[in-house]
Amino acid sequence: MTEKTEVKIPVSGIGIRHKARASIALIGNPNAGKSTLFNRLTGLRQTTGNFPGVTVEKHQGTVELTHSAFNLIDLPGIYSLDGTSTDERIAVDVTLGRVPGTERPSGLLVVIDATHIYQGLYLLEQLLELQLPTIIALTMIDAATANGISIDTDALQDALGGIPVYPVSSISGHGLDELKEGLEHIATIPSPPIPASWPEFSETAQQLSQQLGEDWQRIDVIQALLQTHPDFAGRLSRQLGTDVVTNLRTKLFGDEPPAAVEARHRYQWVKGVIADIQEQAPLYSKIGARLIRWTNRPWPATLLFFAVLLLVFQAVFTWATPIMDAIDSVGSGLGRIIIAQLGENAFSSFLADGVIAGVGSVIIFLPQILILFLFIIILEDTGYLARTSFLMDRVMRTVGLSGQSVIPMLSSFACAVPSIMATRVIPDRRDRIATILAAPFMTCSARLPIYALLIAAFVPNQSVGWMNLQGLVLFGLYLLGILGGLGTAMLLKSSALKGPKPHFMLALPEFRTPNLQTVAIKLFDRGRIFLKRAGTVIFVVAILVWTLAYFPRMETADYHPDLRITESVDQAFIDNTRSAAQMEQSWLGRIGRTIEPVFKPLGWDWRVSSAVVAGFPAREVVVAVMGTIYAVGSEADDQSLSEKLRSAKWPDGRLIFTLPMVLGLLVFYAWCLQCAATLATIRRETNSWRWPIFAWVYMTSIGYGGALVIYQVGSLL
Amino acid sequence: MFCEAGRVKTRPAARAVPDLDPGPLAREHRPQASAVCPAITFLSGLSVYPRSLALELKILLEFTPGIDSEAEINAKTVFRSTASIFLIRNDSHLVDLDYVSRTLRCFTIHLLMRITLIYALRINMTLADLVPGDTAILEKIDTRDPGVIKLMILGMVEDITVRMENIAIGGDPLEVGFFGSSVSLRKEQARHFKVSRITRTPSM
Repeated sequence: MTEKTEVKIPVSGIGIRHKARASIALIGNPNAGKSTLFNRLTGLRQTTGNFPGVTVEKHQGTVELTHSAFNLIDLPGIYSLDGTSTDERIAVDVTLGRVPGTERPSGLLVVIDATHIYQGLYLLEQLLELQLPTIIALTMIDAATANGISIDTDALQDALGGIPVYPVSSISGHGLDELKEGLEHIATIPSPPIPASWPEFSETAQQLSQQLGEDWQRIDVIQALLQTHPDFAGRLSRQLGTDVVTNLRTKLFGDEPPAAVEARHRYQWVKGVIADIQEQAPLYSKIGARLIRWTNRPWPATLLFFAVLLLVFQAVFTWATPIMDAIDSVGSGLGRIIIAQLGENAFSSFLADGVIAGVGSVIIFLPQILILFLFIIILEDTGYLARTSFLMDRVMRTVGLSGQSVIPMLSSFACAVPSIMATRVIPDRRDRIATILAAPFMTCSARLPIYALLIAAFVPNQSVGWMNLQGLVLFGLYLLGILGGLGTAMLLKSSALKGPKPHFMLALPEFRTPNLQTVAIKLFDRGRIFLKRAGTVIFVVAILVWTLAYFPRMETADYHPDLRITESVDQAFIDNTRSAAQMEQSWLGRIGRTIEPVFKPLGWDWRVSSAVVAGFPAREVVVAVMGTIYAVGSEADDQSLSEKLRSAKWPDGRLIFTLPMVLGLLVFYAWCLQCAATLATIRRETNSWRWPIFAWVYMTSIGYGGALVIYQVGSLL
Repeated sequence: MFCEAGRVKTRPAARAVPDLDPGPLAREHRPQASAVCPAITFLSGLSVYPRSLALELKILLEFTPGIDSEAEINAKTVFRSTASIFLIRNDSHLVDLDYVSRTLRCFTIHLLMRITLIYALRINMTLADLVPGDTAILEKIDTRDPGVIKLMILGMVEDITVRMENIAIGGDPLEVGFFGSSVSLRKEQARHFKVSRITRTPSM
């Protein structure tokens, strides 16, 4: 062992980089602190991609050691190798070197959560059958100590037949150096002994793998016997004859499912190990822990859930206002300065009305979106998001889904794309598709800008009791999205996707204090992605829209010559009329008027129509387009966008933004699927064009229908 | 209070159902139960009773003179320790009402005996019958349900001690704790786990 006092200079920092030779797989239960350890070990030298053919994310990173470096592959969190879900299959296939493009790892770094050592050892036991050099990182030691659990790592090492065990604290970094030291010598570690938890099975597997010859590894035989891998099971039957295999299975498993018998035997061994290595001290709970346990009880938890939701919506509106006002005044001030400095010409208009108005109108919503993400990240990191699926299972059952659909739907409030990917945890395909189609209904952060804009413009800022009316309306819109989603799920589950009652089982993580650094990193990441979109897609669209709206220029003399005659008309009115005329004869105006008839029944003029149509690839563009359209239109730049909307009129002088029209627009926006990224994700996850096309047609038509009904009925009243 | 029960017309003895699932027969009998004694229905509908216990009436009846013990009746009884009365819940198991009425009369005589019996004969209870705070040992697992196997993979195997942590609003799903982990499952799957040696641990 080297001295612990040795100062570790990060090798990357002084320019020496070892070339990663071997690769090691990082594997463990979900929530075992795997990702934190991965970040700790690899630092910034990591890449994210996809495993070929599937949508499971592949995180890879280089771990720098004193004398060498290796490639660390982060695998999805799993409980056993028996699973049939995509995540589990990938984790198994990567460790076995069956995935093209990913070399077979030469060793395993198994992460075991000290507070959940029971399930951790079960996975470890299955992994030992792979006969790869293995190292164990025992995480969450501090949490275990707080729970009154003490683990004798030396005894654990002995019980496992000498597999090195390194207690690590990912948060403080304690034990990491020792772990790295151990990883350096992973190649010299002998293959670990297979625990004698199930001698009959072990012997049978051993015999068969010798009997079957070279191309059968031990793990292949095991998977074939347990019927966890259909290919191998089929091959085994073909090679030995169906009768022989059936007899073998009956001898080993009786008439029970193999996985059940396996679990029984392996956990028997796990219990024995735990009895030797773990001591549970009598626990005198602290007040904090008691309080958390109390809030886990059904009624307090449900009330808390709704209170948190309400708080989020209030916070999104009230906390963000000052920052938004500041951004707004900076934006319009900048525009005025540019116009004043450069004079009124195409270039200054391009900068002020195209770039600043377009991108600025999206960036202004960054505070709100960050606040929303902050709440969602905190809920995720405390483990509360998983608990909501426990609380909401009953509700989800009425629409034919299970509580497992709740997490994807809740994270849909941030963005539908990751939430559609999160549906992978749902084992039943029908349930999964129903959830995928329901998720885009949830109010994602991209909808927030237009909600915020329209609410700020048309809903009076007054308090109702202790609540703010604007916040309440926003809450109502979120409810509308939830209703749309649940209604869709119910409809699908009772027709096209009818199936057996879904199971619901879920390991509930206990409350964990969120790590400030992790929250900050995640929040920064989300903010960066949002800004990147605002900086690229939205920037391009804003410029495109500005070009379409600015050209072709009309001659300044052309407009309404009759206005010149009456001298009493004030200058602002002339300016506005002139710009309106320019707008109408621009390309954008012409396109807009062509599509206007389609949206006329909804009470939208060509400007709203073209903004909405421009939003079909990505809905956050809509506000930017409106910002550009209305900025180009008016010379009086001191008006905010919402003021401009309030004063927008039809040619005959009626207001465009009447209450029924605004409500209809909000409903359209709540239900319509305006997001190419979501469609692409649905395509990838369902592996067919049928569902994305269905989703788009379905959501667009009910959005249109809803807006139509509201406008028409509202206008009659 | 229960005298009304005796006046009910004898109904054909219902056949025992092998499974724990109530099935359509039990549901069919439920309206009659309310006719027997509204109080039973009223009190059993309340979920405030300190604990619910299921027991094998067949064995109970062997200790009860004058009652044919041949009929296999599964009954879920509700024990109100405060009021010291027994109520029979027939919401999930098949009950022959004739037997119930006769048994109810006998209950008053053999009250003490039954209290002893309840603790001796906590058989046929499943995970679904526990209330929050109960600790029990998993006894026998019916592995025919694919959902049950997934729970076994999470560690719910025979001979481990589990604690019922929480029951969501509406009675379902359940949260069960063991070895420091919490797992959420539905009652449907919980019925496949027989439990024994139930003790109540103080909620912390």
